[in-house]
Order: sequence, then C-alpha cells, then structure tokens
Amino acid sequence: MCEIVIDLKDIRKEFIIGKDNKIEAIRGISFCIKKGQFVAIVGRSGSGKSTLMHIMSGLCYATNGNVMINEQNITEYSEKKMAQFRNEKMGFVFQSFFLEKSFSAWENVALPLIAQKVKKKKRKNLAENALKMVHLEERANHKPSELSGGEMQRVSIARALVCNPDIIFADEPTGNLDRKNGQEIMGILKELSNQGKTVIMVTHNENDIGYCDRVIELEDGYVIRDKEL
Amino acid sequence: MYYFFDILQYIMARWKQYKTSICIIIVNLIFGICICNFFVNFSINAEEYLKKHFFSNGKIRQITIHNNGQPFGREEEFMDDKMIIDIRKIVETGIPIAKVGKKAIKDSLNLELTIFDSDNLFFKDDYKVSEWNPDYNWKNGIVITSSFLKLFSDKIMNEKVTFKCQGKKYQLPIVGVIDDVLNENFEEDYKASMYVHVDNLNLKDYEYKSITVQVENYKDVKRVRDKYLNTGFELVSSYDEAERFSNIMNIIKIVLLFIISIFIGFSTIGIMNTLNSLSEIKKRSLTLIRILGFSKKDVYKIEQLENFLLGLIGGLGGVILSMSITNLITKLNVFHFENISINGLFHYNGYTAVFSILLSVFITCLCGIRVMRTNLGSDIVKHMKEL
Repeated sequence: MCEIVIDLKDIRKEFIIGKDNKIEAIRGISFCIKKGQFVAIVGRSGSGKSTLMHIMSGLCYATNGNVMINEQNITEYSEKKMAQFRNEKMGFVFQSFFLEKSFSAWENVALPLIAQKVKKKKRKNLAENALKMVHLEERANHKPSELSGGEMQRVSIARALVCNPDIIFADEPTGNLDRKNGQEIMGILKELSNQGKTVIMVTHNENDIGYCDRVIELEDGYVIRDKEL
Repeated sequence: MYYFFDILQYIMARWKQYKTSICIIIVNLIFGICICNFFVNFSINAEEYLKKHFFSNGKIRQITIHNNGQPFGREEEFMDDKMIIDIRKIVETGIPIAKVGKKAIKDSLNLELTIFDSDNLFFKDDYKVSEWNPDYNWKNGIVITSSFLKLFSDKIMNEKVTFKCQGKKYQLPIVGVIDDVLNENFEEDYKASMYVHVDNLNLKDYEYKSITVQVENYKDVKRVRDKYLNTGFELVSSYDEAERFSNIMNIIKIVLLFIISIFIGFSTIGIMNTLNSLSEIKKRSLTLIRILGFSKKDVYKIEQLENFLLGLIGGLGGVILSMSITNLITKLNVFHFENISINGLFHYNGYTAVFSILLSVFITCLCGIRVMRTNLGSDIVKHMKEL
C-alpha cells in the first residue's frame, strides 16, 4: 500500500478585496497525494492552482479545511512551527529561480541550512552534494550572474534538495527556460520523483505534463479533472 | 555563536546588493551623529569653560555681606579692617571651620569649659563640645589663629587635645596656625574676609564693614544667603551668580538642543526614507528566506541586527569625524584670539561618544522597526506576488 504524504480535506480559500468583496479562490477541494508521486496541477490563470500549492506548502492558510502532511495537520501549526516544518520537509523551485545575486551557487544552496543552524563546513559539504545531484558541482563558486537560466534553475533545485525534504513544490519551473533547458529540469524532477520524493508542480506547459504521474486540473476553484497518467 | 556569525555573513553578503542605500544610510548617520556629538561636547565644554571663568579663585563658595558702609559689630578686638587671612592655608588643612580670635574659636567649638587662660595657659584632658558636627572632617586637627600664637609655645603644636561629643571622645592635634597678619598683596575682595562655620556665623561679633564668608560646601552658600537675605544687609553671593550663569547656560543648551534636534530629525527622515526604499529591494531576499524556513521572528532578528550594525558603523563614523574635527580645531588653534583662548570649548568628552553611538543605534533600530511594521507583514504569498 502506498503511503499518503498529502491529504487535503475540503479546502476553501477566500480573499477579501476591498470592504465586502469576497473572492473564493478554492471551493472545497479534497484529494490525497501519495509518496513519490509526480503531480501536475494545471489550469487557466485565476483557476486557483497557485493558491492551492501555497496552501499545501503552508505559505498561506486555508479559510476552511485541513491540510494533512505525513498525518500531521499543518493548518494548526504556528507560524514558527510551520517555518521549521517547511524548512525540514519541503523544498521549493520557482519560475524566477529566487537566487541571491551576491551569493555563490553553493551559498544559495546552503541558505536553508542556516535556519537549521548547521555549521559552515557541514553546510558547504551538503550544498556541494546537492549541486552534484543536479550536475553542477563545478559551478559551485559561481555567482548567479555567471550561470545560464537552466543552471540557475538547477541551483534552485539543489537548494530545494539540500535539506533532504519529502516534498518538492515547483511553481512553473520551466516558465523562464528554453525547451532544451526545460526538458533537462523536468528530467531532474522526474528522477527525484523516482527516488521517492513527492513532486508537486504547477504548470501551464503541456510538455511538462508528460513527465508527471498524475494531473489535477482546476477551474474556478474546483477540481475538474484528476487523472493518473 | 556560529549562527550569529552566519547571519552576520549573510547580512554582509546582502549589503553588496544594495551598497548605495547602505552608503546613504551610513553617511546620513555619520553626519547626523557628528553634528550631534560636536554640539553636545560643545555644550558640556561651554558649561565648564564659563564656570571656570565666572567662578575662579574659589568664588563659587563665597558670599560677601556689606553693612551699608558701617561695621557689623562693636568689638574692639579686630579694628584693622584690612586684616586678611590666607584662604589657601585653611583649604589645605581640609578643616572646614576656623574663626579669628580667641572668642571666635571658643564660639565655634562652643566649649562648655574655658579652654584657654591667657595668664595660665594649659589644656585640660577632657573638654566637652556640645554643638559640634562630627560629620565634618576633623581628622586633621584644628587650626588656631596667629593672634594666639604669642600665647603658645612651639611645643603645643601637634599636641593632641581631647574633646567629647555625643558620648564619643575625639583627639585632635593642633595642626596649623592661620596667618592673620596684614598682607598687602591680596586682592581687595579678600579684605577683612574670614572663615566661619555657617551655623556659628554671628556678624555682630565683628568690627568689619564687609565680611566675605567662604563655606566648605557649595550647598551652604544658599543657607548663608537665605539667613541674611532679608536682614537689611547687602549680599553678593555666588548662589545668585550661579543662578544667572545657569540661566545663560540653559539658553545656550536650548539653542544647541534645537540645532541637534534639527540635524537628528533630518538624519532620521533620511534614514527612514532610505530604509523604506531599501525594504522594497530587500523584500525579495526576506520573502525567500521565509519560504526557505526562517520564521518571522528570525527575519525580524536579522533585520534588527542589520540595523544595529548600520547604527554602530554610522555612530562610530560620526564619533570619529567629530573627534577629528575637535582635534583639528585644537591643533590648528583656529579660535585662539589675542588674549582669549576658547580652545577649552573643543575638548573631547569620551562619554558623549558612547551617548552618540547609542543614539545612532537607537535611531536606526527604531526606524527599522517602523519600516518592518509598515512593509514586511506576515503574508508571504502577498510579497511573492508583489515581486
């Protein structure tokens, strides 16, 4: 039996714009994600896919419903505990890479380890290992400005992996990359999924979906399609 | 500790990204703190400088009492109104009380028994002192006046005399003799001046037209002044001078405070503005580290550490600049006029440096808190969308 990593129960999210203007971004979504699954969340702009990913990763709280990760209800976590949980159990990959310009590649990768109060020597070792996993060990001392788009995204993936998380959230990871680099990044994410990491990716790109095990399509805050490939 | 250094390293690395803003903040602080430091120093020096010039030669503890050109008393003992006592001798002995003449010593010590008999001079073993303040520093002994000198032989010097006060015995040697012979070289101010215990001062004992009282402690100036304020005598007291001096100083201080406030105000506004625009730039880094697992409190600590560092660097820079300016003024003798040197106004006071650095750190931390509260809320997603 496959282990359930994420279990969403009747998730709702409302945004209040202005005085009384309520917008319901997510309208009662429930589903489970198993360990090692590579899930694509797709949908048009404004369908609620990014909001759903933010709720699953604890970056924002749902108005209603529970998010269970490894059988722990993260909706009850304090801000501090959530930050720690995110640091230890989740990794993030963004469309715009989110790298610190003045840091070298390994320093960027090691950033989450500072929050864990890991010593510098060990940090560097772990960061170099993570860079090795994305085949960038030779670029460890390069600044982001000296790296290509694909390399920057690989650094970003290494940073997501450095704390050995269970889940990786990727928000449009190939959005800023050309086709070749995009395929390379998707290949890495697929490999991670094969190694047992749960990868949840928000994407617009039809090509990226081909790498996934499951597609969840959203429209107006509802799941309109949930299909295993 | 290593975590602290890691965070420090992180902050320093981040500074490379927005060095212009950091430079603006530090320069702002340096100039603001330099001016603040310079004027606070100036204000302290001005007080010392003016005090020194107004109250030279011990005038700070003096009250001169005039009796409209008439002698206060009718005693025949001291007819010479030019008699002068060397003030310094009294001061050096550290004894707060001495009176001119046999009667005066007797009065001031308020002895129950007759202490001296000019015909048959001797000290008895025990004398009772009824109104004697043991808080005074009597350890050195007592001083007698030279008008008694003829009564004593040299062997009396350093001989101990036993007094009783409040059940306790005190042994005091005679340690000095006040020279009450005429000395023409003394200034007019000291003409017929004498030194008495504040409580034992009885003007009618003296045949002088004016009496200058010098007291041991400045607080006693007011006591003597108040005692003779409405008695018809004309009073010139250092207390009133000090009041006038204090008023002048207050005006100087208010003006300086105003100048300092303006500079600190402008500096604070400058820092606030820069920090505000900087927070927009920093939003990216801060959002990132929050996503990566730093709590809001951690981010707050990092930001405050950064502000503390900025304040410290700016404050130190300001102090160094201010110190250099004051040293330069002193070295180059910029304000040295023909007869008056006001270089004393530009001495550097170490305490103002500490105050200035603390002020600098306080301003930056305060501005930092304000900026954090305004610009860096708890909603990470909102910040992500703004980027």
